Amino acid sequence: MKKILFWGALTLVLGAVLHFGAMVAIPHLVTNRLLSSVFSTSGNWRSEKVNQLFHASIRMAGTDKVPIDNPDIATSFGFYDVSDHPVRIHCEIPTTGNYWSLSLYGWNTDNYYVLNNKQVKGTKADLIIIRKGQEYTPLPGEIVVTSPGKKGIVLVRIIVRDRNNSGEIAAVSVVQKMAYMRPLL
Amino acid sequence: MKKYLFPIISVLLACLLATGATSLALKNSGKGKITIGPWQTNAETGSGKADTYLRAWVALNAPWALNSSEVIYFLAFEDSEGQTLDCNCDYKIEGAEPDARWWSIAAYEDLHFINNPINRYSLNSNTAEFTNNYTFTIYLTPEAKYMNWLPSCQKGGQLALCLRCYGPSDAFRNNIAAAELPTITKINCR
Repeated sequence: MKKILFWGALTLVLGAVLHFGAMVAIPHLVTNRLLSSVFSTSGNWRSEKVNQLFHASIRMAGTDKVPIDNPDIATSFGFYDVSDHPVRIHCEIPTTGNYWSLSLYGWNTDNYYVLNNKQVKGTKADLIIIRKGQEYTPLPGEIVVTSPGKKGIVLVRIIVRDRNNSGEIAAVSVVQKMAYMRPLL
Repeated sequence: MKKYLFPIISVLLACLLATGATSLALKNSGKGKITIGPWQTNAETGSGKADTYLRAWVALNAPWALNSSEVIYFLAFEDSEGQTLDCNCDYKIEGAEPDARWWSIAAYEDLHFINNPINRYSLNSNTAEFTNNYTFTIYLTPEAKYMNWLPSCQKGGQLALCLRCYGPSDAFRNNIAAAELPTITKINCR
């Protein structure tokens, strides 16, 4: 009887640990899965695509890889690694007043920083991501953000007011493609 | 062999328990803390304040959501009568503009865009037609029958709506539960 109770209790504890571990791991696994699906053409995407922004046009049915994606948004996307150097993100802000934001996520999908066009003075934004303990002296106009981990996700969003307006799509695309991410070597 | 029997059974049962508990948790964690008619939301979506369960649900179902200072997301899987949204039914979505900088209502089948001949997956504060008092009626139907047509599904998957409110006012954000959101009314079914 004692043996059954012992193994029963151990089973419950082990089940709880496995369950909680799975819940913690899921966001990290989702990030890995989505990145590898987006960069599936590159064999070693972790080293080849890091610290760069990629510009996606608005999605169509069948090309929306992310669940509950926003159909009215042009997105620039990338992942950073600040293990060795800080990373600079430069963006031009749409002058048309369309909603624009630059958001940073941890590998666990938490949105730890966001900057939108109402908060930016002028038509450009320069953001420097550093890791904890890294030192960087910002130049005038630069915003310095400390990443909670060495790696994270960058999303630049521009709302397209009417996705069937080809003129607006083209104008948004021009502004979108001026954004870049580079390591500060 | 007999001495391994209990450990093996214990590990197998623990795996089964963990799988069951995880599936159940993922099914229920997305249910919003705030319910307004058919719409559900959670003010902690996307933020560092989200608990482990909400974070896992958001990662699987709407990864890289913005936090509520930027966007409030409302999801609806049911109509205003509490009936599950059904691809075989037509609906009208009626309401006034949310107190936000920009908003949209998008339709999804199994959480992805619904294929349609005009590539329309949403109507928003710029593309929806309004009546004189700034209210709107959006028709969620598989075929274009009305103005303000939001194409619905035809395959029979899980139909869902997402109302996004970008740049919500402070009043809206500080008292989300008091917001007046559109109603979703079934017109008829095939």
